[in-house]
Formats: sequence, structure tokens, C-alpha cells
Amino acid sequence: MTGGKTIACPSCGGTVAVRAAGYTVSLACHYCGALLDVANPDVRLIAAYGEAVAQLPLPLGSRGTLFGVEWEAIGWQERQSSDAVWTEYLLFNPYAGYRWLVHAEGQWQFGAMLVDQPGRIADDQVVWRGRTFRLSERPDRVVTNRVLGEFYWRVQAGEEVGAAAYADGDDTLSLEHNADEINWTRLIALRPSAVRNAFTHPLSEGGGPGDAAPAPYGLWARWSDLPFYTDDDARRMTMIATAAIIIVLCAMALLGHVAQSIDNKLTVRVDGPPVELTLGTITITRPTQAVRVQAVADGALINDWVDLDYALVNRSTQQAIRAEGTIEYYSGRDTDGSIWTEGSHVATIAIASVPRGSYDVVAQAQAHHWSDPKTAAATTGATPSGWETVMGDTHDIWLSAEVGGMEWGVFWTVLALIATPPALLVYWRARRGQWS
Amino acid sequence: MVLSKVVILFAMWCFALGAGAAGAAWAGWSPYADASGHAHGGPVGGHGGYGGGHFYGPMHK
Repeated sequence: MTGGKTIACPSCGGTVAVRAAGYTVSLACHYCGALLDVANPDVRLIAAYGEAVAQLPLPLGSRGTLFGVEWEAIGWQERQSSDAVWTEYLLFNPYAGYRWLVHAEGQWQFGAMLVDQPGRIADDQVVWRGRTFRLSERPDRVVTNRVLGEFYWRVQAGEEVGAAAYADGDDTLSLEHNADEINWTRLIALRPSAVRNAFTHPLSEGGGPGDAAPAPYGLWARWSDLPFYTDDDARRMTMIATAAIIIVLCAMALLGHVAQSIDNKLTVRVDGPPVELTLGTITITRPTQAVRVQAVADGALINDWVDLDYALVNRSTQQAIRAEGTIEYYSGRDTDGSIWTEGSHVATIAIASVPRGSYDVVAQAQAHHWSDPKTAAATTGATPSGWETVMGDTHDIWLSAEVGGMEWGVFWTVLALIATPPALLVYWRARRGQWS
Repeated sequence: MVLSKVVILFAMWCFALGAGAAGAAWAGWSPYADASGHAHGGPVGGHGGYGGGHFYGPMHK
């Protein structure tokens, strides 16, 4: 489309294509980021940037048709005001000239510089071609953070201009000014799908240092290709969330490790009297700590339940902290012959924030039997109560108590709270049509 | 690296949650615990019975 030529970057030696040769004044090497003066026949190095060249969602050299004209993305810059960061692509067509493709907070706008300037009719209103535009973004300073590609003016990072914006519906007039000039640009909102459909991602042009192919973007490229992740803030929030979740998991595992553990066993007779057992003594060394008690029944416990009353008895004051648990496991046969089961042979309870001190861990257990009414009816022919007792059977219950331990309920809650803001951001952008 | 306000705010949100979770892990606090560590009653022992009127048996119908 353009009369292109190639130059050798004086900073890294990479071969860089000049797409708008004859028009372009400055160019940022897409291998090392060095800013070059291509208006100078010897190609002079203006500034070298050590930081990695940005990985653009729309690579320079991409061509796409918007408003019936084929445009080539030749330049890119990241700009910042006091409350926002956005990026702008410089589009070029040798017959139509230059246009802008602005990408801010997931929204795309197509910009064309105005030759007929709007007239000011009030402090917050301008009129252009008979239409009134109201102030939508208050006057602010805009700084160019990074540049890449080629530009028709002597661009540089750190460049600062004054800016304001006026809007009439989705139509925006952007004002930028410095000491030398005033520029008005008309920005028209584009659907993200229109941008995605218009631009294809071409192969990289020219050879890099040693003709090495650009580094593959891998997972992050596919990630950033997702329509709702085109904005850098969503990617950064996801990275922060992932790091936070890993750190929270490690911190909770470290601080909530099991400091002490005791165990013991008791035997309880079905429908017999309650059995009491002192597992042993635990010591809380921090101001407060959690205590977890787990009970595991033998496999013969079927259609039985065991009530468990726990007490942590302070050895100094004899005051008790109480909790309850139940082991219950049931099984039977449905009318269609299928077997069902319900319950578990394991019951764990947690006591939170137990104050510092030494405690005897006391457990009291009482076992009961439950009869399946259907089975009983089949064997006796009478209407069963469902609560017949089976005397004489015993169950072994293994009990263990530990100080500390991971509280997964807190972890999952924190995980959900951390994940909610980026999820809401994605949802909000999806509702604004970025997936369409 | 330039971070937008929403990213900085989110980082602070993550930090506050992380600090809270770490503090809860240290103090053994949990809203999901079956009991809290408040001592009550007198010496244990001698109390019999079970449950307290709960219904036991399978929910299966």
C-alpha cells in the first residue's frame, strides 16, 4: 500500500521497515524501542529505551478497512492524563492520510483531525458544523508515556499537551494544544467487533537482530486476544489477583499450621449409656487459636448415629467451651431395588478463637440405631416405627484434636472477594457489547 | 509501569483482604466455626443426654 523501505536500527542492528517512507519523521524500532530520526539520511538515534517493547494487541503493520479505506497501523503511543491511561494507534493510507485509532478502557474510537475548527459558544460548549458539543472531559494535562512505530512529527516520550473533550452522543471532539499549535480531532465510537473484524494480524515485516523471529507471546497473547482482556487494567488486575491468592494461601497455611495434636479412642455401645473420654491436654500459646476435633467411626457403623459432645475444660478455671458433633451413616433399599446411602463416618468440628491456656479435651459419645422402615416392613409384615434398637453392638470412635489448622472457609471467601472486582469488570464490559 | 487508579485500588483491596485472612489464620478466627472460644458453664462432667431435640435419621425419602 505504501512506498516502504527498510533501515538498519543504529541501536540494535535490526532491520526496520519504514511504511510511510517520505512522510515519517521519527520511528521507534519495534525490536529495541530506540527512537530514530528517519528524516536524517543517516538515520540518527534520538533516544534509546531499555525497557521491553510493548506487546501490542494490534501489531504494527496490521491492515484493516474502516469507513471504506484500507488503513495500516504504523505508530502506537501510550498516553496518560491525571485519571486515565489509554493507547492510540496512528493509521496511514497514502491517499487518505493519517487517522487515529484510540483504545481506552476497552472502547475503540476512530479519530480524524479537523481542518475546520469548532467555535466556542460557552465555557463548556463548542459548535461544529451546526452541532453543539458539551464539555465531557475537563481540561487536563496529557503525557505521552511510550511510543512505538513511526510518526509524522518528532514524537517523544514525555511529550505533554493540554487536552479537553466535548461530546454530542457518541461523537466526540478532542482538543489538544501546546505552546505552538491547537489541534481538534473528531472521534467516532467503534464497536470492538468492528475493529477485530477490520484488522488482521499480519506476519512481522523485516528481519530483527540476527533475523530472529519475534518472541512468541504464548499464553499471554491468547489471553490478551480475548475481547474482554484487550485492556491492560483487566490483565494487571488478574495478575494481582492471582499473586494475592497465592500469597494468601501461603500465609494462611504458614500462620494456621497445626501446632499440636492429640488423639485417643473410645468404644460406645449402641443405645447404651453415654461414654466419656478425656483425649488429653492441649495448650494454646497464642492469645487465641482455633481447635479442631475430628471423630472417625469404624466401618460397621451403618444405620446408626453417634452424638458427640465436646468440651475444652480450662485446667486453671475449670470453665468449659462446648461444641457438638454427630456421626451418622444410613443405607437402605428403594422400592425400585436401588441402594442408597447417606452420611459419613467422619465428623469434624472447629472451635474458633480459643483463648490462651491449657485445656483438657473431653468427649462424650452416645450411639443410637435407626432401622430402615421398608426393610423392616418386608421382614415383619407389620408397620415399623423405624426406630427399633439393636442392643449389644458397639462402635469404635477414633478422636483427634489439633490446635491450629487451615480454615478453608475463610480462604474460599477471600478468594471470591478478590476475584469479584475483575469478574465484575469483565461482566460490565461484556454488557457494554465488547463480546459482540 | 503506570497503573491506573482502578488497578491501584484493587491492589489495596487485595492487600486488605490478605492481611485480614492472615490475621484470622494467626488468631484462629473463623465465621464458619461450629463454636466460638467463649467459656461458659461450670466444670464439665455428669451431663448426660444427647443432641437436644434434633431430628436424626436419613433425609432420604
